[in-house]
Amino acid sequence: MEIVVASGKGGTGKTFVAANLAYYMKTSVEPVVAVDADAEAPDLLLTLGGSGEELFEKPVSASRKASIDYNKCTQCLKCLDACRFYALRVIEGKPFVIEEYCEGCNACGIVCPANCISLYVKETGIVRADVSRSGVPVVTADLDVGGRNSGELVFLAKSEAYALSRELKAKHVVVDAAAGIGCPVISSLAGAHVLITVVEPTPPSISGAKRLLEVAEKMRVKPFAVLNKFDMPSSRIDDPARELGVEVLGKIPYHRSVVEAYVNMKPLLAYAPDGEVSKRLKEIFNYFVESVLR
Amino acid sequence: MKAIAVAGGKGGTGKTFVAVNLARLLSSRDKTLLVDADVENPSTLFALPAEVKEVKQVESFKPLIDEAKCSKCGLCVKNCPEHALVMLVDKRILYFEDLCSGCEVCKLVCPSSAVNRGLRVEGLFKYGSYGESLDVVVGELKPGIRRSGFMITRLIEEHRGLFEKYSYVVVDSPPGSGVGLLSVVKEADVVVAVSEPTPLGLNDLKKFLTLLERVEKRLKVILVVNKHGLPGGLERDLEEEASKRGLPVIAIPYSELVVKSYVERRPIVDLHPESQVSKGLVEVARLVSS
Repeated sequence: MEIVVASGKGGTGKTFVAANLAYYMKTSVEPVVAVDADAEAPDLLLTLGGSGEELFEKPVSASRKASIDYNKCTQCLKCLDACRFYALRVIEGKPFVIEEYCEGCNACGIVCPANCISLYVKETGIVRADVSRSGVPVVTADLDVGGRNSGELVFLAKSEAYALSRELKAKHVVVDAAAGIGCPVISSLAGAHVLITVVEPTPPSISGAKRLLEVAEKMRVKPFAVLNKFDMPSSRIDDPARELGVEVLGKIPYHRSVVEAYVNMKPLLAYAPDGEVSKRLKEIFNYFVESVLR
Repeated sequence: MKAIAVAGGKGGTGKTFVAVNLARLLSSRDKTLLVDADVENPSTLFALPAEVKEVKQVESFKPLIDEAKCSKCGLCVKNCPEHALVMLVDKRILYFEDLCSGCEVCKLVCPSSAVNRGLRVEGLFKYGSYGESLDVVVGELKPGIRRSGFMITRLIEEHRGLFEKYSYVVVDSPPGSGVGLLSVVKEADVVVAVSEPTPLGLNDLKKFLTLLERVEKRLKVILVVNKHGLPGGLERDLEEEASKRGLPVIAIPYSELVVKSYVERRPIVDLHPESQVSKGLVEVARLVSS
Protein backbone atom coordinates (compact mmCIF):
# COMPACT_ATOMS: atom_id res chain seq x y z
CA MET A 1 0.00 0.00 0.00
CA GLU A 2 1.09 3.52 -0.67
CA ILE A 3 0.25 5.98 2.07
CA VAL A 4 0.64 9.71 1.44
CA VAL A 5 0.94 12.18 4.31
CA ALA A 6 -0.01 15.67 3.13
CA SER A 7 -1.78 18.77 4.38
CA GLY A 8 -2.34 21.72 2.06
CA LYS A 9 -1.04 24.23 4.58
CA GLY A 10 2.64 24.05 5.53
CA GLY A 11 3.92 23.38 9.01
CA THR A 12 0.98 21.36 10.30
CA GLY A 13 3.17 18.33 11.04
CA LYS A 14 3.34 16.24 7.86
CA THR A 15 6.96 15.23 8.33
CA PHE A 16 6.36 14.61 12.02
CA VAL A 17 3.50 12.19 11.28
CA ALA A 18 5.19 10.57 8.27
CA ALA A 19 8.49 9.99 10.09
CA ASN A 20 6.84 8.51 13.15
CA LEU A 21 4.46 6.38 11.09
CA ALA A 22 7.36 4.96 9.09
CA TYR A 23 9.35 4.36 12.27
CA TYR A 24 6.33 2.74 13.92
CA MET A 25 5.77 0.43 10.99
CA LYS A 26 9.46 -0.47 10.82
CA THR A 27 9.58 -1.32 14.53
CA SER A 28 6.27 -3.20 14.50
CA VAL A 29 5.61 -5.90 12.00
CA GLU A 30 5.32 -3.87 8.84
CA PRO A 31 8.50 -3.30 6.83
CA VAL A 32 8.31 0.01 5.02
CA VAL A 33 10.11 2.37 2.66
CA ALA A 34 9.66 6.11 3.26
CA VAL A 35 9.74 8.74 0.53
CA ASP A 36 10.46 12.42 1.04
CA ALA A 37 8.43 14.04 -1.74
CA ASP A 38 8.83 17.58 -0.40
CA ALA A 39 11.54 18.17 -2.98
CA GLU A 40 11.84 21.91 -2.35
CA ALA A 41 12.39 21.48 1.39
CA PRO A 42 13.20 17.84 2.18
CA ASP A 43 13.52 17.08 5.91
CA LEU A 44 12.32 13.51 6.37
CA LEU A 45 15.74 11.85 6.53
CA LEU A 46 16.84 14.47 9.07
CA THR A 47 13.78 13.74 11.20
CA LEU A 48 14.56 10.03 11.13
CA GLY A 49 18.07 10.67 12.43
CA GLY A 50 19.99 11.55 9.29
CA SER A 51 21.79 9.14 7.02
CA GLY A 52 23.15 5.99 8.62
CA GLU A 53 24.08 4.39 5.31
CA GLU A 54 23.87 5.88 1.85
CA LEU A 55 22.43 3.44 -0.69
CA PHE A 56 22.64 5.52 -3.88
CA GLU A 57 22.35 8.98 -5.35
CA LYS A 58 21.16 9.65 -8.90
CA PRO A 59 21.09 12.93 -10.76
CA VAL A 60 17.78 13.60 -12.48
CA SER A 61 17.42 15.51 -15.71
CA ALA A 62 13.76 16.27 -16.01
CA SER A 63 13.48 19.54 -17.84
CA ARG A 64 14.19 20.84 -21.31
CA LYS A 65 15.19 24.40 -22.04
CA ALA A 66 15.46 26.46 -25.20
CA SER A 67 18.77 27.84 -26.35
CA ILE A 68 19.34 30.44 -29.08
CA ASP A 69 22.18 30.36 -31.59
CA TYR A 70 22.94 34.07 -31.96
CA ASN A 71 25.08 33.45 -35.06
CA LYS A 72 21.90 32.50 -36.87
CA CYS A 73 19.33 34.70 -35.06
CA THR A 74 17.95 37.45 -37.31
CA GLN A 75 16.28 39.22 -34.36
CA CYS A 76 12.86 38.89 -35.97
CA LEU A 77 11.42 38.25 -32.48
CA LYS A 78 8.73 35.87 -33.69
CA CYS A 79 9.77 33.60 -30.83
CA LEU A 80 8.53 36.20 -28.34
CA ASP A 81 4.97 36.04 -29.63
CA ALA A 82 4.98 32.25 -29.56
CA CYS A 83 6.05 31.87 -25.92
CA ARG A 84 3.15 31.51 -23.48
CA PHE A 85 5.34 31.39 -20.38
CA TYR A 86 7.05 34.81 -20.22
CA ALA A 87 10.30 32.92 -20.85
CA LEU A 88 11.68 35.21 -23.55
CA ARG A 89 12.68 38.80 -23.07
CA VAL A 90 14.27 41.32 -25.43
CA ILE A 91 17.53 42.86 -24.33
CA GLU A 92 19.15 45.26 -26.79
CA GLY A 93 17.06 43.95 -29.66
CA LYS A 94 17.91 40.30 -29.04
CA PRO A 95 15.69 37.61 -27.60
CA PHE A 96 16.92 36.03 -24.37
CA VAL A 97 15.67 32.87 -22.70
CA ILE A 98 14.77 33.20 -19.02
CA GLU A 99 15.82 29.69 -18.17
CA GLU A 100 13.72 29.18 -15.07
CA TYR A 101 10.51 30.15 -16.86
CA CYS A 102 11.19 28.07 -19.98
CA GLU A 103 8.98 24.98 -20.17
CA GLY A 104 10.90 23.47 -23.07
CA CYS A 105 7.79 23.25 -25.24
CA ASN A 106 9.69 24.37 -28.35
CA ALA A 107 6.96 26.77 -29.52
CA CYS A 108 9.73 29.35 -30.11
CA GLY A 109 11.74 26.80 -32.08
CA ILE A 110 8.77 25.93 -34.26
CA VAL A 111 8.07 29.53 -35.28
CA CYS A 112 11.73 30.55 -35.72
CA PRO A 113 12.31 31.12 -39.47
CA ALA A 114 16.09 31.02 -39.02
CA ASN A 115 16.01 27.65 -37.28
CA CYS A 116 18.28 28.93 -34.56
CA ILE A 117 16.55 27.57 -31.45
CA SER A 118 17.31 24.15 -30.02
CA LEU A 119 16.46 22.38 -26.78
CA TYR A 120 18.85 21.01 -24.22
CA VAL A 121 18.23 18.86 -21.18
CA LYS A 122 18.92 20.29 -17.77
CA GLU A 123 19.61 18.55 -14.49
CA THR A 124 16.87 19.45 -12.03
CA GLY A 125 17.77 17.62 -8.89
CA ILE A 126 18.72 14.31 -7.35
CA VAL A 127 17.02 11.24 -6.02
CA ARG A 128 18.92 9.61 -3.21
CA ALA A 129 18.32 6.66 -0.95
CA ASP A 130 19.60 6.09 2.57
CA VAL A 131 18.94 3.97 5.56
CA SER A 132 18.31 6.45 8.34
CA ARG A 133 20.07 6.18 11.68
CA SER A 134 16.78 5.00 13.11
CA GLY A 135 16.78 2.17 10.57
CA VAL A 136 14.14 3.34 8.10
CA PRO A 137 14.98 3.21 4.38
CA VAL A 138 14.29 6.69 2.96
CA VAL A 139 14.21 7.77 -0.68
CA THR A 140 14.58 11.55 -0.99
CA ALA A 141 13.63 13.80 -3.89
CA ASP A 142 15.84 16.89 -3.71
CA LEU A 143 15.12 19.62 -6.25
CA ASP A 144 17.87 22.04 -7.25
CA VAL A 145 17.12 25.51 -5.91
CA GLY A 146 14.98 27.44 -8.37
CA GLY A 147 14.22 24.18 -10.15
CA ARG A 148 10.99 23.17 -11.81
CA ASN A 149 9.21 19.95 -12.65
CA SER A 150 9.33 18.68 -9.10
CA GLY A 151 6.40 16.40 -10.04
CA GLU A 152 8.69 14.40 -12.30
CA LEU A 153 11.29 14.21 -9.54
CA VAL A 154 8.66 12.93 -7.10
CA PHE A 155 7.50 10.37 -9.65
CA LEU A 156 11.07 9.11 -10.04
CA ALA A 157 11.64 9.01 -6.27
CA LYS A 158 8.48 6.95 -5.88
CA SER A 159 9.61 4.56 -8.63
CA GLU A 160 12.92 4.09 -6.82
CA ALA A 161 11.06 3.52 -3.56
CA TYR A 162 8.97 0.79 -5.16
CA ALA A 163 12.09 -0.89 -6.52
CA LEU A 164 13.66 -0.69 -3.07
CA SER A 165 10.51 -2.00 -1.38
CA ARG A 166 10.57 -5.08 -3.62
CA GLU A 167 14.20 -5.63 -2.77
CA LEU A 168 13.55 -5.24 0.95
CA LYS A 169 10.24 -7.08 0.82
CA ALA A 170 8.50 -4.07 2.30
CA LYS A 171 4.77 -4.07 1.75
CA HIS A 172 4.21 -0.38 2.29
CA VAL A 173 5.51 2.94 1.08
CA VAL A 174 4.97 6.08 3.18
CA VAL A 175 5.21 9.34 1.23
CA ASP A 176 5.85 12.64 3.01
CA ALA A 177 4.36 15.14 0.57
CA ALA A 178 5.11 18.81 0.00
CA ALA A 179 2.89 21.57 1.31
CA GLY A 180 0.22 22.78 -1.08
CA ILE A 181 -1.84 21.09 -3.75
CA GLY A 182 0.26 21.60 -6.88
CA CYS A 183 2.54 19.54 -9.08
CA PRO A 184 4.59 17.61 -6.48
CA VAL A 185 1.54 16.85 -4.34
CA ILE A 186 -0.43 15.60 -7.32
CA SER A 187 2.50 13.35 -8.23
CA SER A 188 2.59 12.13 -4.63
CA LEU A 189 -1.11 11.24 -4.78
CA ALA A 190 -0.93 9.61 -8.22
CA GLY A 191 -1.26 5.86 -7.71
CA ALA A 192 -1.45 6.12 -3.91
CA HIS A 193 -4.05 4.19 -1.92
CA VAL A 194 -4.49 6.21 1.23
CA LEU A 195 -4.08 9.87 2.16
CA ILE A 196 -3.52 11.05 5.71
CA THR A 197 -4.28 14.76 5.91
CA VAL A 198 -2.50 16.38 8.83
CA VAL A 199 -4.69 19.20 10.07
CA GLU A 200 -4.20 21.70 12.86
CA PRO A 201 -7.18 23.48 14.35
CA THR A 202 -6.77 26.78 12.53
CA PRO A 203 -8.83 28.25 9.68
CA PRO A 204 -5.97 28.29 7.11
CA SER A 205 -5.18 24.65 7.85
CA ILE A 206 -8.81 23.53 7.52
CA SER A 207 -9.08 25.46 4.25
CA GLY A 208 -5.85 23.93 2.94
CA ALA A 209 -7.01 20.45 3.90
CA LYS A 210 -10.30 20.92 2.08
CA ARG A 211 -8.49 21.97 -1.07
CA LEU A 212 -6.24 18.92 -0.75
CA LEU A 213 -9.22 16.60 -0.22
CA GLU A 214 -10.76 17.92 -3.42
CA VAL A 215 -7.63 16.85 -5.29
CA ALA A 216 -7.56 13.47 -3.51
CA GLU A 217 -11.16 12.82 -4.49
CA LYS A 218 -10.38 13.51 -8.14
CA MET A 219 -7.45 11.12 -7.90
CA ARG A 220 -9.49 8.49 -6.04
CA VAL A 221 -7.21 8.25 -3.04
CA LYS A 222 -8.99 7.21 0.15
CA PRO A 223 -8.74 10.11 2.60
CA PHE A 224 -8.24 10.13 6.38
CA ALA A 225 -7.27 12.93 8.72
CA VAL A 226 -5.16 13.37 11.82
CA LEU A 227 -5.74 16.40 14.01
CA ASN A 228 -2.37 17.66 15.18
CA LYS A 229 -1.76 20.22 17.97
CA PHE A 230 -5.46 19.83 18.77
CA ASP A 231 -5.07 21.57 22.12
CA MET A 232 -3.65 24.74 20.56
CA PRO A 233 -4.79 27.76 22.55
CA SER A 234 -7.92 29.57 21.38
CA SER A 235 -8.51 27.41 18.36
CA ARG A 236 -12.16 27.01 17.54
CA ILE A 237 -12.54 23.85 15.50
CA ASP A 238 -14.80 21.55 17.49
CA ASP A 239 -15.49 18.76 15.07
CA PRO A 240 -12.84 18.35 12.37
CA ALA A 241 -14.41 15.13 11.08
CA ARG A 242 -17.65 16.94 10.35
CA GLU A 243 -15.80 19.96 9.03
CA LEU A 244 -13.70 17.88 6.61
CA GLY A 245 -16.10 15.04 5.90
CA VAL A 246 -13.48 12.31 6.42
CA GLU A 247 -12.67 9.85 9.16
CA VAL A 248 -10.33 11.31 11.78
CA LEU A 249 -7.80 8.71 12.91
CA GLY A 250 -7.05 10.58 16.10
CA LYS A 251 -5.93 13.73 17.85
CA ILE A 252 -2.34 14.56 18.74
CA PRO A 253 -1.65 17.07 21.51
CA TYR A 254 1.08 19.66 21.31
CA HIS A 255 4.04 19.06 23.57
CA ARG A 256 7.54 20.49 23.82
CA SER A 257 9.01 17.00 23.38
CA VAL A 258 8.03 17.19 19.70
CA VAL A 259 10.53 19.99 19.13
CA GLU A 260 13.08 18.36 21.44
CA ALA A 261 12.91 15.15 19.42
CA TYR A 262 13.64 17.16 16.27
CA VAL A 263 16.60 18.83 17.93
CA ASN A 264 17.90 15.42 18.99
CA MET A 265 17.31 14.10 15.47
CA LYS A 266 15.16 11.19 16.54
CA PRO A 267 11.59 10.30 15.72
CA LEU A 268 9.50 11.13 18.78
CA LEU A 269 8.57 7.45 19.21
CA ALA A 270 12.27 6.73 19.75
CA TYR A 271 13.08 9.89 21.72
CA ALA A 272 10.18 9.82 24.18
CA PRO A 273 8.49 6.45 23.68
CA ASP A 274 6.51 6.63 26.90
CA GLY A 275 5.36 10.23 26.64
CA GLU A 276 1.77 11.32 26.18
CA VAL A 277 2.26 12.26 22.52
CA SER A 278 3.93 8.94 21.69
CA LYS A 279 1.09 7.11 23.40
CA ARG A 280 -1.42 8.88 21.16
CA LEU A 281 0.68 8.29 18.07
CA LYS A 282 0.89 4.56 18.80
CA GLU A 283 -2.88 4.34 19.26
CA ILE A 284 -3.45 6.13 15.98
CA PHE A 285 -0.89 4.10 14.04
CA ASN A 286 -2.03 0.82 15.56
CA TYR A 287 -5.59 1.54 14.51
CA PHE A 288 -4.41 2.67 11.09
CA VAL A 289 -2.29 -0.43 10.46
CA GLU A 290 -4.81 -2.90 11.87
CA SER A 291 -8.03 -1.40 10.49
CA VAL A 292 -7.10 0.55 7.38
CA LEU A 293 -4.08 -1.20 5.90
CA ARG A 294 -5.31 -4.72 6.47
CA MET B 1 7.93 51.18 -5.40
CA LYS B 2 9.66 48.85 -3.02
CA ALA B 3 8.94 45.12 -3.36
CA ILE B 4 9.26 42.95 -0.26
CA ALA B 5 9.14 39.17 -0.53
CA VAL B 6 8.23 37.30 2.65
CA ALA B 7 9.51 33.73 2.30
CA GLY B 8 11.83 31.36 4.14
CA GLY B 9 11.73 27.73 2.99
CA LYS B 10 9.82 25.69 5.54
CA GLY B 11 6.04 25.73 5.67
CA GLY B 12 4.20 26.98 8.72
CA THR B 13 6.96 29.23 10.06
CA GLY B 14 4.74 32.31 9.97
CA LYS B 15 5.20 33.82 6.51
CA THR B 16 1.57 34.88 6.12
CA PHE B 17 1.53 36.17 9.66
CA VAL B 18 4.59 38.36 9.05
CA ALA B 19 3.45 39.45 5.57
CA VAL B 20 -0.01 40.57 6.69
CA ASN B 21 1.27 42.48 9.70
CA LEU B 22 4.14 44.00 7.76
CA ALA B 23 1.73 45.17 5.05
CA ARG B 24 -0.55 46.62 7.71
CA LEU B 25 2.33 48.54 9.30
CA LEU B 26 3.68 49.82 5.99
CA SER B 27 0.20 50.90 4.92
CA SER B 28 0.14 53.35 7.80
CA ARG B 29 3.04 55.13 6.08
CA ASP B 30 2.04 54.89 2.43
CA LYS B 31 -0.03 53.03 -0.15
CA THR B 32 0.68 49.33 0.17
CA LEU B 33 -0.30 46.28 -1.85
CA LEU B 34 -0.29 42.83 -0.28
CA VAL B 35 0.14 40.06 -2.86
CA ASP B 36 -0.70 36.49 -1.85
CA ALA B 37 1.53 34.37 -4.07
CA ASP B 38 1.02 31.17 -2.06
CA VAL B 39 -1.34 30.13 -4.83
CA GLU B 40 -1.68 26.50 -3.72
CA ASN B 41 -2.92 27.52 -0.32
CA PRO B 42 -3.53 31.27 -0.07
CA SER B 43 -4.14 32.31 3.54
CA THR B 44 -3.81 36.10 3.76
CA LEU B 45 -7.58 36.55 3.82
CA PHE B 46 -7.75 34.40 6.95
CA ALA B 47 -5.47 36.81 8.73
CA LEU B 48 -6.80 40.07 7.34
CA PRO B 49 -10.50 40.94 7.13
CA ALA B 50 -10.12 42.49 3.69
CA GLU B 51 -13.19 42.95 1.59
CA VAL B 52 -12.96 41.16 -1.77
CA LYS B 53 -14.32 43.47 -4.45
CA GLU B 54 -13.48 41.67 -7.65
CA VAL B 55 -12.74 38.10 -8.71
CA LYS B 56 -11.18 37.33 -12.07
CA GLN B 57 -10.81 33.91 -13.66
CA VAL B 58 -7.31 33.00 -14.79
CA GLU B 59 -7.58 31.17 -18.06
CA SER B 60 -5.21 29.38 -20.36
CA PHE B 61 -5.28 27.78 -23.78
CA LYS B 62 -6.65 24.38 -24.57
CA PRO B 63 -6.91 22.87 -28.04
CA LEU B 64 -10.29 22.40 -29.69
CA ILE B 65 -9.77 20.10 -32.65
CA ASP B 66 -12.04 20.67 -35.63
CA GLU B 67 -12.70 17.12 -36.83
CA ALA B 68 -13.90 18.36 -40.23
CA LYS B 69 -10.57 20.03 -40.95
CA CYS B 70 -8.25 17.50 -39.23
CA SER B 71 -6.25 15.41 -41.71
CA LYS B 72 -5.17 12.92 -38.99
CA CYS B 73 -1.51 13.67 -39.75
CA GLY B 74 -0.59 13.34 -36.06
CA LEU B 75 1.83 16.28 -35.97
CA CYS B 76 0.08 17.77 -32.95
CA VAL B 77 0.45 14.49 -31.09
CA LYS B 78 4.09 14.12 -32.07
CA ASN B 79 5.01 17.66 -31.01
CA CYS B 80 3.01 17.93 -27.80
CA PRO B 81 5.73 18.30 -25.14
CA GLU B 82 3.47 17.16 -22.31
CA HIS B 83 2.03 14.13 -24.12
CA ALA B 84 -1.41 15.58 -23.54
CA LEU B 85 -2.55 14.52 -27.01
CA VAL B 86 -2.70 10.85 -27.94
CA MET B 87 -3.72 9.23 -31.23
CA LEU B 88 -5.66 6.01 -31.02
CA VAL B 89 -5.35 3.18 -33.55
CA ASP B 90 -8.52 4.38 -35.27
CA LYS B 91 -6.76 7.78 -35.60
CA ARG B 92 -9.03 9.52 -33.16
CA ILE B 93 -7.20 12.09 -31.07
CA LEU B 94 -7.66 12.11 -27.32
CA TYR B 95 -6.91 15.18 -25.20
CA PHE B 96 -5.83 14.99 -21.55
CA GLU B 97 -6.46 18.39 -20.06
CA ASP B 98 -4.63 17.63 -16.82
CA LEU B 99 -1.36 17.16 -18.68
CA CYS B 100 -1.71 20.13 -21.05
CA SER B 101 0.50 23.15 -20.31
CA GLY B 102 -1.30 25.45 -22.75
CA CYS B 103 1.85 26.00 -24.82
CA GLU B 104 -0.13 26.04 -28.12
CA VAL B 105 2.46 23.97 -29.97
CA CYS B 106 -0.35 21.79 -31.37
CA LYS B 107 -1.93 24.86 -32.90
CA LEU B 108 1.41 26.04 -34.28
CA VAL B 109 2.29 22.77 -36.01
CA CYS B 110 -1.13 21.88 -37.44
CA PRO B 111 -0.85 22.15 -41.24
CA SER B 112 -4.62 22.26 -41.78
CA SER B 113 -5.57 24.89 -39.16
CA ALA B 114 -7.71 22.33 -37.39
CA VAL B 115 -6.69 23.34 -33.88
CA ASN B 116 -8.81 26.16 -32.48
CA ARG B 117 -8.26 28.11 -29.30
CA GLY B 118 -10.32 26.95 -26.35
CA LEU B 119 -10.02 28.22 -22.80
CA ARG B 120 -9.93 26.54 -19.43
CA VAL B 121 -9.85 27.99 -15.94
CA GLU B 122 -6.68 27.40 -13.88
CA GLY B 123 -7.45 29.62 -10.94
CA LEU B 124 -8.62 32.97 -9.67
CA PHE B 125 -7.23 36.41 -8.99
CA LYS B 126 -9.06 38.10 -6.13
CA TYR B 127 -8.86 41.84 -5.49
CA GLY B 128 -9.71 43.43 -2.21
CA SER B 129 -8.85 46.16 0.23
CA TYR B 130 -8.61 46.83 3.94
CA GLY B 131 -8.91 50.42 5.07
CA GLU B 132 -7.75 53.39 3.06
CA SER B 133 -4.26 52.47 2.04
CA LEU B 134 -3.96 48.67 1.96
CA ASP B 135 -5.04 46.70 -1.11
CA VAL B 136 -4.77 42.95 -1.58
CA VAL B 137 -4.35 40.69 -4.61
CA VAL B 138 -4.68 36.94 -4.08
CA GLY B 139 -3.66 34.26 -6.56
CA GLU B 140 -5.59 31.03 -6.05
CA LEU B 141 -4.87 27.84 -7.94
CA LYS B 142 -7.85 25.67 -8.83
CA PRO B 143 -7.56 22.31 -7.00
CA GLY B 144 -6.36 19.62 -9.40
CA ILE B 145 -4.23 21.97 -11.48
CA ARG B 146 -0.54 21.08 -11.35
CA ARG B 147 1.05 24.23 -12.60
CA SER B 148 1.37 26.42 -9.54
CA GLY B 149 4.74 27.89 -10.58
CA PHE B 150 3.26 29.36 -13.73
CA MET B 151 0.32 30.72 -11.76
CA ILE B 152 2.80 32.66 -9.63
CA THR B 153 4.62 33.90 -12.72
CA ARG B 154 1.31 35.12 -14.13
CA LEU B 155 0.32 36.73 -10.86
CA ILE B 156 3.50 38.81 -11.06
CA GLU B 157 3.75 39.43 -14.80
CA GLU B 158 0.11 40.41 -15.20
CA HIS B 159 0.20 42.88 -12.31
CA ARG B 160 3.46 44.72 -12.97
CA GLY B 161 1.54 47.84 -13.92
CA LEU B 162 -0.53 47.62 -10.74
CA PHE B 163 2.57 47.20 -8.54
CA GLU B 164 3.94 50.53 -9.80
CA LYS B 165 0.99 52.38 -8.26
CA TYR B 166 2.09 51.50 -4.73
CA SER B 167 4.94 52.58 -2.49
CA TYR B 168 5.20 49.12 -0.97
CA VAL B 169 4.36 45.74 -2.46
CA VAL B 170 4.51 42.92 0.10
CA VAL B 171 4.49 39.43 -1.42
CA ASP B 172 3.46 36.50 0.78
CA SER B 173 5.30 33.57 -0.79
CA PRO B 174 4.74 29.82 -0.78
CA PRO B 175 7.06 27.55 1.19
CA GLY B 176 9.95 25.91 -0.63
CA SER B 177 12.84 26.93 -2.82
CA GLY B 178 11.71 26.10 -6.35
CA VAL B 179 10.84 28.08 -9.42
CA GLY B 180 7.80 29.72 -7.83
CA LEU B 181 10.02 31.25 -5.17
CA LEU B 182 12.55 32.31 -7.74
CA SER B 183 9.82 34.20 -9.65
CA VAL B 184 9.02 36.09 -6.47
CA VAL B 185 12.48 36.88 -5.10
CA LYS B 186 13.76 37.98 -8.51
CA GLU B 187 11.34 40.89 -8.36
CA ALA B 188 12.09 41.84 -4.77
CA ASP B 189 14.19 44.62 -3.31
CA VAL B 190 13.97 43.18 0.18
CA VAL B 191 13.54 39.56 1.24
CA VAL B 192 12.19 38.83 4.70
CA ALA B 193 13.15 35.22 5.43
CA VAL B 194 10.89 33.85 8.16
CA SER B 195 12.20 30.77 9.93
CA GLU B 196 11.65 28.96 13.20
CA PRO B 197 14.22 27.60 15.64
CA THR B 198 13.90 23.92 14.74
CA PRO B 199 16.30 21.72 12.73
CA LEU B 200 13.72 21.68 9.92
CA GLY B 201 13.42 25.46 9.92
CA LEU B 202 17.22 25.76 9.80
CA ASN B 203 17.64 23.12 7.09
CA ASP B 204 15.03 24.65 4.79
CA LEU B 205 16.27 28.18 5.46
CA LYS B 206 19.75 27.19 4.27
CA LYS B 207 18.33 25.83 1.03
CA PHE B 208 16.25 28.97 0.57
CA LEU B 209 19.25 31.25 1.16
CA THR B 210 21.15 29.29 -1.51
CA LEU B 211 18.33 30.18 -3.89
CA LEU B 212 18.86 33.86 -3.14
CA GLU B 213 22.46 33.54 -4.34
CA ARG B 214 21.06 32.79 -7.79
CA VAL B 215 19.42 36.21 -7.97
CA GLU B 216 21.82 38.53 -9.71
CA LYS B 217 20.80 41.84 -8.20
CA ARG B 218 21.70 42.96 -4.71
CA LEU B 219 19.02 41.97 -2.28
CA LYS B 220 18.52 43.21 1.22
CA VAL B 221 17.78 40.12 3.30
CA ILE B 222 16.37 40.15 6.83
CA LEU B 223 16.05 37.00 8.92
CA VAL B 224 13.02 36.78 11.18
CA VAL B 225 13.33 34.08 13.83
CA ASN B 226 9.68 33.46 14.58
CA LYS B 227 8.46 31.41 17.56
CA HIS B 228 11.64 32.49 19.34
CA GLY B 229 11.95 30.73 22.69
CA LEU B 230 10.36 27.50 21.51
CA PRO B 231 11.54 24.89 24.04
CA GLY B 232 14.68 23.13 22.90
CA GLY B 233 14.99 25.56 20.07
CA LEU B 234 17.88 26.33 17.78
CA GLU B 235 17.82 30.14 17.96
CA ARG B 236 21.59 30.29 18.21
CA ASP B 237 22.14 28.19 15.07
CA LEU B 238 19.82 30.43 13.09
CA GLU B 239 21.64 33.50 14.37
CA GLU B 240 24.98 31.98 13.42
CA GLU B 241 23.70 31.26 9.92
CA ALA B 242 22.60 34.89 9.65
CA SER B 243 25.86 36.33 10.96
CA LYS B 244 27.87 34.17 8.52
CA ARG B 245 25.98 35.92 5.77
CA GLY B 246 25.84 39.34 7.42
CA LEU B 247 22.07 39.37 7.75
CA PRO B 248 20.21 41.34 10.41
CA VAL B 249 18.10 39.15 12.71
CA ILE B 250 14.81 40.01 14.36
CA ALA B 251 13.31 37.70 16.96
CA ILE B 252 9.58 37.34 17.37
CA PRO B 253 8.62 35.42 20.50
CA TYR B 254 6.31 32.44 20.50
CA SER B 255 3.00 33.72 21.83
CA GLU B 256 -0.59 32.58 22.13
CA LEU B 257 -1.64 36.03 20.97
CA VAL B 258 -0.63 35.04 17.45
CA VAL B 259 -3.18 32.22 17.26
CA LYS B 260 -5.75 34.44 18.93
CA SER B 261 -5.30 37.14 16.32
CA TYR B 262 -5.79 34.53 13.58
CA VAL B 263 -8.99 33.38 15.18
CA GLU B 264 -10.13 37.01 15.45
CA ARG B 265 -9.01 37.53 11.86
CA ARG B 266 -7.24 40.74 12.78
CA PRO B 267 -3.55 41.66 12.41
CA ILE B 268 -1.85 41.40 15.78
CA VAL B 269 -0.33 44.86 15.30
CA ASP B 270 -3.89 46.24 15.43
CA LEU B 271 -5.17 43.93 18.13
CA HIS B 272 -2.20 43.94 20.52
CA PRO B 273 0.09 46.79 19.44
CA GLU B 274 1.96 46.76 22.76
CA SER B 275 2.84 43.06 22.69
CA GLN B 276 6.42 41.86 22.25
CA VAL B 277 5.30 40.18 19.04
CA SER B 278 4.07 43.48 17.62
CA LYS B 279 7.29 45.20 18.66
CA GLY B 280 9.25 42.64 16.65
CA LEU B 281 7.02 43.26 13.66
CA VAL B 282 7.45 47.03 13.96
CA GLU B 283 11.19 46.45 13.90
CA VAL B 284 10.83 44.38 10.70
CA ALA B 285 8.83 47.23 9.11
CA ARG B 286 11.47 49.72 10.18
CA LEU B 287 14.32 47.68 8.67
CA VAL B 288 12.35 47.03 5.49
CA SER B 289 11.63 50.69 4.85
CA SER B 290 14.99 52.12 5.93
